[in-house]
Amino acid sequence: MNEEYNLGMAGGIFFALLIVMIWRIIQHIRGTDTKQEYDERQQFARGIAYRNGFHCLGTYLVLYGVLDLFGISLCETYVGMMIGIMLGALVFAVTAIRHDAYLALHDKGVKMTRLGLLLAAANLIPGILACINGTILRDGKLAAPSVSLMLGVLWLVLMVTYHTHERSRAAEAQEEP
Amino acid sequence: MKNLRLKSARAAKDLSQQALADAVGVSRQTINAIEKGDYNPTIRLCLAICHVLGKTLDELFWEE
Repeated sequence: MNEEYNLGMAGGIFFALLIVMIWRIIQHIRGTDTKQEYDERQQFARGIAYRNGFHCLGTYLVLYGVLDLFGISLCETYVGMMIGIMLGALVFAVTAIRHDAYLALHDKGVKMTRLGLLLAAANLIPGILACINGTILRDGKLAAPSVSLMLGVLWLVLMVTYHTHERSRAAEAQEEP
Repeated sequence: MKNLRLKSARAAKDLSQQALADAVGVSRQTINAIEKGDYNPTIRLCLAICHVLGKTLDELFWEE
């Protein structure tokens, strides 16, 4: 079961990479691949966001290490690693969104929303199924299937943050003379 | 400190923040941040704004 799961996970990652590669090639052929350009304020804001994400990841790793030293382990190693990456990415993305620096100059918010919701659904469904099946925990620790649930929640949080922020910006733009 | 001179120069040219942003190649939020005094632009961006609005650096960005 464990081997089957790991194989499925590796296959899933490979399949996702393949889809992204094919999508990029199609965009390149159609000439719709736009360069990710950020203006100077956005670059500065993204620098701050990267720094915050890095600090968050560093703090998390120290806490994880200290807890591990005392023999306290709440999750499997792979899950622990993924939580750290997700936390860092979340802090980066939320900081960037709040500074209007998440999307590049020519990026479309609608596209990002569609992709975000698709990714949220694609992760939440197996995550919820894992909860129902009881495979989310193994020997009292968070097991690999819990990562899907956490990724789904992460994408939902990002979408909510993005849309809340966009609404306030839209109101601001309407007030502007 | 708010940059009211930039705001009035933009309004005099009948340009929205978005139109000015497009003309100088930045986001609308960046122009908004400059006008509100939340962001200090580089000299390159200041010059680009001055060219579009037909003003000098002193007229738009020099603080007395």
